[in-house]
Amino acid sequence: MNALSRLLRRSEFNWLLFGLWFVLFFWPVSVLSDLRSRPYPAFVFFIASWAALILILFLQALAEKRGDPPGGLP
Amino acid sequence: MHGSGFQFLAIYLGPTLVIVLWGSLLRRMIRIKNRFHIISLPDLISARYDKSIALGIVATLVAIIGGLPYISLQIKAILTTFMIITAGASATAWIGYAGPIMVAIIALFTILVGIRRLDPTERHPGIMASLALECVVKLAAFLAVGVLATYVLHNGLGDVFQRAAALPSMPAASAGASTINWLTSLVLAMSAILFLPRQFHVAVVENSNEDHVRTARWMFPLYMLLINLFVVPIAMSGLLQGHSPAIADTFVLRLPLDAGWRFIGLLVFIGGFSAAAGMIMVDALAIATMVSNNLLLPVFDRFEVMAPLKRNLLRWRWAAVAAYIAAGYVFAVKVTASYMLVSIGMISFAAILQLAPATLGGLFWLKGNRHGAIGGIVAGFVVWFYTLLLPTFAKSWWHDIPFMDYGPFGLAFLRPEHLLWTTGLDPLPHGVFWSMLINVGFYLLGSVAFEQSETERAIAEEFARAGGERAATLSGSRAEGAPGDIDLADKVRIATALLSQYVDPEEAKRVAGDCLRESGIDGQRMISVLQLSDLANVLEKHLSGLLGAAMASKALQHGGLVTAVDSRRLEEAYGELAAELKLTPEALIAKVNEYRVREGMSAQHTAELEQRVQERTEALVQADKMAAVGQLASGVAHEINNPLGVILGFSQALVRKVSDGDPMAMPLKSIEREAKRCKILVMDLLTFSRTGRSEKSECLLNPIVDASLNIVAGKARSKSIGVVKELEDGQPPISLNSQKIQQVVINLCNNAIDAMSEGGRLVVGTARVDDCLVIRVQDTGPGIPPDLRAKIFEPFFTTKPVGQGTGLGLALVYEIVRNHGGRIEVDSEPGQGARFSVLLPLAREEAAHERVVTAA
Repeated sequence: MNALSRLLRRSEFNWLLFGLWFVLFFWPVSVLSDLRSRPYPAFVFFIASWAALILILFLQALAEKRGDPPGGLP
Repeated sequence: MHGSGFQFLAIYLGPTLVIVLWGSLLRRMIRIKNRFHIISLPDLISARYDKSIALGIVATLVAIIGGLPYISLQIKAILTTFMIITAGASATAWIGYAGPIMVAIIALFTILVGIRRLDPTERHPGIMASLALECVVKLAAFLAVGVLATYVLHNGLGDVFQRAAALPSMPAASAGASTINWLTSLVLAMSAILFLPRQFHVAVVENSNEDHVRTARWMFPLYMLLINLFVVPIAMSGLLQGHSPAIADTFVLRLPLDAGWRFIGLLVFIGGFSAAAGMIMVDALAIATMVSNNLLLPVFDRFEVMAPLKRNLLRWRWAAVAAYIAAGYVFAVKVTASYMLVSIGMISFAAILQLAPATLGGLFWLKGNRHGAIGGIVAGFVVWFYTLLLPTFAKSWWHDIPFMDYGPFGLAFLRPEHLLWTTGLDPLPHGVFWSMLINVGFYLLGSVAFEQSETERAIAEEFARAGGERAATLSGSRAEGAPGDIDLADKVRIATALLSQYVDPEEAKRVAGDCLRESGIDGQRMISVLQLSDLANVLEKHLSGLLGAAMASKALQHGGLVTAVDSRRLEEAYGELAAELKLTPEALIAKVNEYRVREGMSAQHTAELEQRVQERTEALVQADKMAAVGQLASGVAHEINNPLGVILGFSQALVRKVSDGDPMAMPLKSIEREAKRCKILVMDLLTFSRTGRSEKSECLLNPIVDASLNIVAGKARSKSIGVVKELEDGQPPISLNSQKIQQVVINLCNNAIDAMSEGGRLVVGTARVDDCLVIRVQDTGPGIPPDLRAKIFEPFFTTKPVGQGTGLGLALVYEIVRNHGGRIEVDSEPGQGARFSVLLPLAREEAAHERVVTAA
């Protein structure tokens, strides 16, 4: 638990999240662009990945509340 | 969605991605804002780059010109939705004036609510609260339309997607977002959430507590997810209802109106109207501050004849609000009539993006300088104007313009939408690419080619420092006073006169008083030159809050607070200091900074020590009090016990002898009852006085707790209280006095039961935590008010009605636990019940641990 908390509070973790979700968002949106291809699964994936990011940010906020805020440059 | 596929999602996903980095980026900006009293983005840029007035002017012009399409977008949204919602109404003459009337009301409201008076902090908690409410209304409206479009008009998401896919008007891949378009939109949205005047104002200037960023980091993306949840289904549903893709932006309003759900339509209009009006208000507020501080004040300051106008700062801001909103209205009506709302917003975002390199460079790159910043912003903005804004004007007002197709003077490489023969890019990515390339290029070149001034280097370092530390640790050290020879009254007069140029005399006196207090020289008659320097710094910060960093610096330079003689003496003082320490000026600055950090750490350490001393003192006082009370109780109880036994014995004998009808029966029964009560009190006192004398033995905790619960179970049942046992298995034996610990559990349970007069749940548990065994007693009663928490273990303190408690129960618990070397923790919130945790140390393990430590 403490290890997870420490990981969430690292500034490098933010960059990892940023990069990962940049790619994650790109795929479903590119699929959604072609609406004739019945992109229902892509839509569901898109919303789920967005929700997952929010969950991680929420856990990060909890971890920060428990410990010191992360320092350092992004 | 039409024409741009799912590009609109970038507007929401860009900010979501930036928010991931908010932890350090936004916190950095907030810390710098607090440290330098920043009140707008141009103010931040100007403050970082040598407090440059020219840079403040340039950044303000970019923010105004770039922000104007954005504000016109909001006005256009209001006008469009108003026309839709009143489409069925009979036309009246005033409908034609609805636009100007609404815009005038918004401007008036902004002035009355937002800038009634000058506030150095530029915070408006009332407006922020109303914005939050507006967001909730908008979300509710949008979700309602989403549910309507998906589950009322169709049979769920799958159904909408299936039907939509068969529509001939549905955009195919070719009409969708290309990678470049998508990336461009994403970058623009990321920049907008940080640098749009209104966003910067809300996120940075209005921030009153850095910790709010923590909550905003997950709540803001959650809001955006919810508001986007039904965008796709609504868009598809609109097309399925036969609407043209060209009016996709209005589907959210048309769908409920067409389906006869007028209430939801009204809710959408109110949500949209309040959101747009809120954006206009905050944007206008931010722009008005920029205009007055970064454009008008430098002009008034430049020309002597205009100097008296400086006093009307507030009125100039009112005028700026009115002019800005009016200009937005004209832009909305005259220029953007033929364009989609999203396209207009994107052009606005692209202009604001021009401020990004200088801002981010200023925050993270020590070598970025004023020349680079001005060059980058100006060059980038010119390219933005040429490649994006000019074509917009051209397409709106003129047709068949040769220079658009062939370039000015037939120079094809200068075609606004095909610079240097660039092809294959849409106008937006094309404009963003070229403007940013030129902007960043000029910024880097300028910063490398020109030297930073010493002041600028110092500010850059201070920015870096301020961004890395919380404001509280940077309070700075005040120059301690060797008695000085500068008359403070004179300096206060000068400071007040300086402030009076911008605010009324009463306010000026108040701010001057604040400066004295903050400098730590309040009440002194004479001050040293170092103290004068401190006073000047504090005054500059206050002025920055009113005028912006650049103008504050200039005002102070010409204000006469620090004269040429003072400056020379200050230089000498620092020179002597540096010579004494055998340091160069740079090394001296580094040394001072190091000592400031050390001072902050030392202050923190002292505060921790003080807190520990206070806790120990309180514990000692409590222990003394208990010992004294114990001795007193023992003596008194012994003395009272014998006569009390006689009184009780005779009263009981007499009660048995008299019949129920006898007039003496009632008084005698009263004597017996009260004597019994006294007996209980005396027994409690005796128990309390004997808590120290206990014989311990190794035993298991769970059976003791179990036995205690059997005793209180009947009382709990009679009060409709459910008892829950949560006893952890496998605990080691512990050295304790089982009877005393049983008494602890019984007392805690009795208190809990008494607290739940209307029934509830009593949870009693045991657990092992590190080197302790813990007994937890938790109730669902009304909880303990915070002000009583410190008193509950004091002897004779009780909240029970007279006659129902002796006030010794918890005092007894405290004493017993203390004699076992343990401690008690209390968690309670009013209305949420209370939880008592008794922590008893495992003696053998402690000894083992000590042996390990000693061996190590």
